[in-house]
Amino acid sequence: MPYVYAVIENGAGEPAPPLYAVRRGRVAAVVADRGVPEATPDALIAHEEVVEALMDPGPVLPMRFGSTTADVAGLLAEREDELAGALERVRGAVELGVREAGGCAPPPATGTDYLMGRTRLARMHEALAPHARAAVRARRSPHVGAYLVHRDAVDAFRARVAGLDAALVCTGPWPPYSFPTP
Amino acid sequence: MNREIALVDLVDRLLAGGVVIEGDIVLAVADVDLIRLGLRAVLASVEALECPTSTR
Repeated sequence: MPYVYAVIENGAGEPAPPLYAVRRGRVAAVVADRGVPEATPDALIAHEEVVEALMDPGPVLPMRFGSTTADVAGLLAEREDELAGALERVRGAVELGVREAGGCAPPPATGTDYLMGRTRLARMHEALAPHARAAVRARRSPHVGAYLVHRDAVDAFRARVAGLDAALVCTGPWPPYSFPTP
Repeated sequence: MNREIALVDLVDRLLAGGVVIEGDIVLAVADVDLIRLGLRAVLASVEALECPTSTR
């Protein structure tokens, strides 16, 4: 069963075996003939390594872990416009993640503390979002949000995060997992 | 990879992000159970990694 790692522009070179490309119109899927691995940390890291290796030189849309389909060509044909649009949106950009450092912080002692914490994170997201091409607010602490940023603007964005709050961590650059559709 | 990656940053992206194939995923029941077990193992690992000396 074909396991799909990512969608890229059609016209990029062939990926290295055991990966291969299934091409359709403007888009191509990067695939391997393999089963779905159990979602262990090692398997997640291995999947991520494959996707990250595809990130230069063109845009990459990462698939969700575990994505398989018997008909890759049909998938591309059905969704070519959507996928081509999504590739354009992420062209030249990477995803940066922002969260609070120190994941071992004690849980909020009261409901008020919990709500205050969520408000603080939401305000941080509102401060950062205008400085990204696109932004998605995180749903749960300690994450603040995910930000689509042009490669050349990464350093400036990291500096902005550091200036906002010294306790924030800016992770990445990631493939654009948080921006799968236009 | 050219940087350290924390599992807490990887898990949400790979398991809840990315392009989703809908409607045509063929997973045997056993495979679905395997993924669910895998997810629990991953989430447990994330908690363990986030708070190695948990005070919770």
